[in-house]
Amino acid sequence: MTGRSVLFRPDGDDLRVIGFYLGKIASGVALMIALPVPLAVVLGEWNAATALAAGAGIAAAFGQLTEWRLRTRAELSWAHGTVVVALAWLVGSFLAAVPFFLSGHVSTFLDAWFEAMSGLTTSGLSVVEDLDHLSYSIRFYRQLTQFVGGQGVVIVMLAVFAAGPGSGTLYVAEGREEQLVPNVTRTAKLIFRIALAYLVVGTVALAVALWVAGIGGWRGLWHALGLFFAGFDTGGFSPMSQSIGYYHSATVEAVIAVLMVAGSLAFMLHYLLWTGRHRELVRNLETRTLAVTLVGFSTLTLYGLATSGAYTEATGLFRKGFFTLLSAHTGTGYGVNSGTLYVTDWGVLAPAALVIVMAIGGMAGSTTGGIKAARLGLMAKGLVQDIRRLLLPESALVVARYHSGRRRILRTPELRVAIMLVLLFLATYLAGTVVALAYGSWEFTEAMFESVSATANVGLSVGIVAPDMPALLQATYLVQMWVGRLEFVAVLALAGYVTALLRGRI
Amino acid sequence: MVTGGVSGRRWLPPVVGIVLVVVVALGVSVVGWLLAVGASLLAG
Repeated sequence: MTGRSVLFRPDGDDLRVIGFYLGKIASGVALMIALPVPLAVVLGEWNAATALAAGAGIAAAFGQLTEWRLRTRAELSWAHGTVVVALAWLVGSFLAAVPFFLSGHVSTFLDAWFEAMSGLTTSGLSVVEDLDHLSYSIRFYRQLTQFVGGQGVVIVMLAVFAAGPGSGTLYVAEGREEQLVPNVTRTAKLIFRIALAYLVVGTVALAVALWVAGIGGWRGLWHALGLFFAGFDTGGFSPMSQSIGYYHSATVEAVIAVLMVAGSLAFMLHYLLWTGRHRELVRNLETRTLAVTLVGFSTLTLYGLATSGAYTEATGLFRKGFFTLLSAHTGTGYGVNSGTLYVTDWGVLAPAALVIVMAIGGMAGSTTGGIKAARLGLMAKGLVQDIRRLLLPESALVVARYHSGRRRILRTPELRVAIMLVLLFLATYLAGTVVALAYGSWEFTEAMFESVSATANVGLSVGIVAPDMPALLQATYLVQMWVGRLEFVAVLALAGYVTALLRGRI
Repeated sequence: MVTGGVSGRRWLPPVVGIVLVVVVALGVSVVGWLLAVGASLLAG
């Protein structure tokens, strides 16, 4: 045996555990697809009802058969958990794609899979043709994927179905930073409770704002729910092809801005505020980091827009420039104007600032994507610590502290993980850019913008993502959305697992 | 009854938490508006 390899070959029992939990998640996906069926029936949208019922049936059959055939009481190990999560997002989005495919508003199954992956990962990039004429129930389903994906497909499974032994590994592997409480099922239910409270408050606020904007009745409620799902979960799908620009309403934009900010905060922070620990808001490393990046890059964006002549009035700068920056920074992807303007009319500084804030994202443990404020804050702390080490006498003990739920000391291993993940994100941003550039149809700025938007699960687009986009590039963005949502760990673990399966060692 | 009184107000901290988040989000918008005014003055 050589020192570089570890003897490890997954056996039948390992695959059984993985398959069993995949089955459970597929059953959860079936439930999600089935939810809008009553709406389709009530509205008499029979084609949509059939598409949704067929999708739910296929997912349920897959889930139930897998669970029945592979039933096991074996505990999930770390390796199992990470592999299950990585596969769950692939299989889950594949199954969730069926209603889109059957809707007739996409050309290929890859389009449908792309739409489902974009929905579940809360990206918001879309390849649906003629969205405004897609049935109400399928559009509702499309919005719903963002809510379920934002909360976490596995979290939904844990909250709805009984969690099995060792299911805490699933929670962590899905890209959640910390459990709110020691019990993972209670954590999942708490996350859902927080989201449900915002669902009620946010939907009512949006319904009122839409009513003021002239959209009332059941349509107003349908728009409000859809906008909430994708706003609070920083998804970016809009029920209409013009995104938020469709509503022409400052009130709607104001409510959505509040939801986007709320969605970009970590569930842990929401939980601490709910339990009376209000000072966390000003002491937390991530809120401080976000305050700096938000003010800094807003200044750059608005200065860039004003000096380039794109917008010169305060109202235009605020409603177009600041809203778009907030949408990009929170990883939402809601737009108030055509995305092509970012590269044709917005000068140089504003698009650059948008790309940077998209790459950063919001708080770790929230529904946003990207590098996350926590890692940026840790790196800044590490840098200051190194500078102090250089300036102080060699005998001095230099300790960097930060606040995240409680007072913590910055340790080298967590700094190393933060730096590694930042590098992986940067490499992925670059990889997607190179693939788009290879087609020779887009400039570097456009290619970079779209690649960052996909990997950081934002959804703003300069027009590369479209129904007729090249299949290979589409598949690249699909993988980027998947990898970005899971923050690499689960996907790399899956790659290692497959290698071990084939070669008998890692 | 003390216990009843406490459990009867269990909804209060979450409501305060949500209000705080809304206030922060509106504060973010106010900062954005001030920056927009500053930028427009610069351009004008």
